[in-house]
Amino acid sequence: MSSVTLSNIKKSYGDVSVIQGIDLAINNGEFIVLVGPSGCGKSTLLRMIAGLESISGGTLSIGGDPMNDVHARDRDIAMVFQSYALYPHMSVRDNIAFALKMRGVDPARIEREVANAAEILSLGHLLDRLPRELSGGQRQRVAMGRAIVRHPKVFLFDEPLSNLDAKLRVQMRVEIRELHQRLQATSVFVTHDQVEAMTMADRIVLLNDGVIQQFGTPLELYDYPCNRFVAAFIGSPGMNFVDGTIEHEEGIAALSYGDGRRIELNPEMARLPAAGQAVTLGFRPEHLQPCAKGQGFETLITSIETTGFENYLYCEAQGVRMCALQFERLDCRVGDSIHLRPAADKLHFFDQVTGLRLESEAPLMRTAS
Amino acid sequence: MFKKMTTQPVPDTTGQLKTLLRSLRRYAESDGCWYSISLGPLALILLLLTILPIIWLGWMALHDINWQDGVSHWEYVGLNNVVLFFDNHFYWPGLLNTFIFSISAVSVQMVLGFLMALVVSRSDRKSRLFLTVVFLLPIVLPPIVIGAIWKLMLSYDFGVINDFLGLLGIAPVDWLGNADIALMSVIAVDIWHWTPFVFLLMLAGLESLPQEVYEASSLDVRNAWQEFWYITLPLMQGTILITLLFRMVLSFKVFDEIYLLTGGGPGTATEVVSFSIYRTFFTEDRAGLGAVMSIFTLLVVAALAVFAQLLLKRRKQS
Amino acid sequence: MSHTRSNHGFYRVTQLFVWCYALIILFPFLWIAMAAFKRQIDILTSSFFFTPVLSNFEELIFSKQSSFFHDLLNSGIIAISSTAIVVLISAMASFTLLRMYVPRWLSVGLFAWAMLFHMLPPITFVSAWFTIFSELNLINTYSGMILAHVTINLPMGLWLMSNFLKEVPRDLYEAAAIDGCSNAATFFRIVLPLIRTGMIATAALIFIFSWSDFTIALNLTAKATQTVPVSIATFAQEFEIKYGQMAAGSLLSTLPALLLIVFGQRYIVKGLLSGSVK
Repeated sequence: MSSVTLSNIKKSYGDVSVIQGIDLAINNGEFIVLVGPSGCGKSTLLRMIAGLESISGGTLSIGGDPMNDVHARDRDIAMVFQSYALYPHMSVRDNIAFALKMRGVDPARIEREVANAAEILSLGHLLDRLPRELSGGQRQRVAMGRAIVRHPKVFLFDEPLSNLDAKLRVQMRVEIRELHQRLQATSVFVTHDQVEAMTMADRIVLLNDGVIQQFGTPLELYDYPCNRFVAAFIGSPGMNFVDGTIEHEEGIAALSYGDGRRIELNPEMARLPAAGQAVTLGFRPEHLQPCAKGQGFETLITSIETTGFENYLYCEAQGVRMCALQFERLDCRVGDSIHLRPAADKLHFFDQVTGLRLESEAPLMRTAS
Repeated sequence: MFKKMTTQPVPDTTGQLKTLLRSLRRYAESDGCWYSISLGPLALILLLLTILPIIWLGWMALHDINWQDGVSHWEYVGLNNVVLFFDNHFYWPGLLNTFIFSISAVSVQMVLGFLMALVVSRSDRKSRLFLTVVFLLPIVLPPIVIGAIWKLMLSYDFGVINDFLGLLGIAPVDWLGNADIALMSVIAVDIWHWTPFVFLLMLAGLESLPQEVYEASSLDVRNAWQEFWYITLPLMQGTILITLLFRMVLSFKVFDEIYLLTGGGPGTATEVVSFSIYRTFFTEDRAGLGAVMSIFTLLVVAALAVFAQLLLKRRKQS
Repeated sequence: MSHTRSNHGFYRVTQLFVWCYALIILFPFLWIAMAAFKRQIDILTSSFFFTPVLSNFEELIFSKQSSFFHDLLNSGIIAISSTAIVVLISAMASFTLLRMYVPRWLSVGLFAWAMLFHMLPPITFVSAWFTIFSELNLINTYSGMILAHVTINLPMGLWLMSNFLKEVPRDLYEAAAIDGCSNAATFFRIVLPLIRTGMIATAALIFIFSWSDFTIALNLTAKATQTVPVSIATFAQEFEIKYGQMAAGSLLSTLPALLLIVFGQRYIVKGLLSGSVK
């Protein structure tokens, strides 16, 4: 197990820069999830840590040793691929043992390690099968087994769950998490799925356009998104946004939006932006509650989704679309009018131009920079 | 003192040997070593046996070369061989014949091969397998054997073809000895030889066409002819064009059958460029002139190949 | 669906035509196979009924004047060695060119030149090789012939192997690198087992090409290393053509190809289709 440190890591293909100077310190034993929309550079970053992609600039060190010019085979890392990349011509046993064999480990120890891994992953009865005779979930386990027998410095996962069906994905999510509890191995996990990031990570790195947007624990990202991008990316359905201007009149703060409509904001909120500032107000669906007329947004319901225990109301107010999550089944229909008000202490304000969070004090917030 | 002097170098050399072995091992595992092992032979062969010979041919073209007792004597003659080349009585008719041969043989092969593939693609698996095996025969057999077979079959006196004509009461034909029909006979043999290849390519092309398109179009087309004209032919256009162009370029290689069937004769009736080069170089022993022919032929075929490639590239873009 | 029925008769006719063509292909082979068992007089009188004799084969193989058995051996040695060399070189080279970092100009250049070389008439190079090999005393030697056959077949080998290699997913040798494989280990332990079918197909095809070669063998060999195609041609070139022996020799020389068709039809078709310029 080792720490991983990235300082000012860059990657460019010719003139196209895909990773633009990333600093990241991953602690020993931590489970880090790299998440972001497709094309954000998360896989490239992972492959640079693995040594499958050259590093254009900056320094990568694993366990304190610089790794820039070390070949992938000498970095002592293990990787689980999206396609699992099991060797089709080798049995499960040989797949798992291969890396140890390549390192010249003595056969008795290999046998022990394989048996141990097989037990952890309950693969014992499959050891003599070929990969093509396994189900998706079993292949996934073999790929994990291939990684854990090595006791590598770092585990890398490249979207390993995206080829599984929804149920199996949830199950493997839990299994990988439990495995990590047990092995306490430094892990870097790449995914485009924010749910995976939220549920698995000790800390999340949210990437966009090759730049770290925010680095913190899942709840930090959820509760204190440091910019509009993070706020929109984390959470499903995403945060609601309303563009407007802050007004202070007779001690009452309000947001004027749409064609001059206003919504009063809680005057006690200490961290309101200054009057006259153009802001984006953000609030999550679960913080939007029905209220009396005139106290919130007057909206029309455009559609209703229900999963049985959650009910999502999709509404529109003055051309602004928003979503409210209700746990009680409401007696309303598409086309009905409904008044909704965001919880006063759950508001997020972002600069309309820069998208940055507007806040004087940030109790738990931590960013990479 | 003496002992020290003799024993001291011993551990030193083993140490050196170990370091040497270690660095050798490190080199064996390095990228550089793998690059040179994997690309070295290829690059070396291409360089020494394909590029160097062309330069060598250029040098030969400027000389008259004679062999005496296995030793070659080179005499510088400047561009004399080029002058002789333009006056050569074999090469130019040969070039014309090669073009006639290539265009007519390949055209017929394409039409026949494509039509047969169309028919067979609708046949059941068993007959497809059987036909594939039969059609593989001419492709995989040595061309010289095919030349030998047809030399026997087309023989004037006792060839089976003339026997057959005799049964029909038709006078025997001198297939390979008559200057008017010799080229046609040779073309016919080539068609026989290579139509199966075109057939296999076309069959594979047809089988790889998306089945859904046919299912979708079966709602729109009214007969098999429309299906062929509006669906199959446009979809196969690429395969057809590629096969046509490259078979034409490759048919410039023809040598074995001509060598055995007619030897370029009668006169220059079936002379082709490959045979002219062979004749000049190996029978007439005029290596310098042969070199000029070789270079010119290389240029012509290379130009055709590049032209074909450009044509395909342009088609792909549009 | 109605059009299928209305065209049924036409379809039958065209199908008949295809089967006729198959017969036209088969007939010459059957005919030469028959001729191989005929006496010269039966061939010359083209009698349909004859008593099969083995004299042609006996004369071909055991007669002191005939070098056919020796030629058969030469063909085998040259074809097998050059095939092995071509497959090994082209598999390694295409792995490096396709899957490792190689400057673009180099990989594109190598492939383009190999393909162009493949289309050029071999006789043009044979003439140059002849003088070069004479200087190096490689004429009429196994090494010279093998070298020439390797060269002439290398482009096809490279083309085929690279096509088959493209089917191996990139992930697998990245996984191998992470598992600690050197380049050589990745190639021999991961890549080779996975392209085995492709290698068999390539080897089958290259063997056939090498076995069938006439142009090179005619000009770069003499008695000592002469191959089968040359000796078949010699029968036809003699003043009195030995039809029976020519037929018998032809029949024997087709045996490897026939065996390959029977046992490896799948591989040959795979190779042929993959080898045709796409």
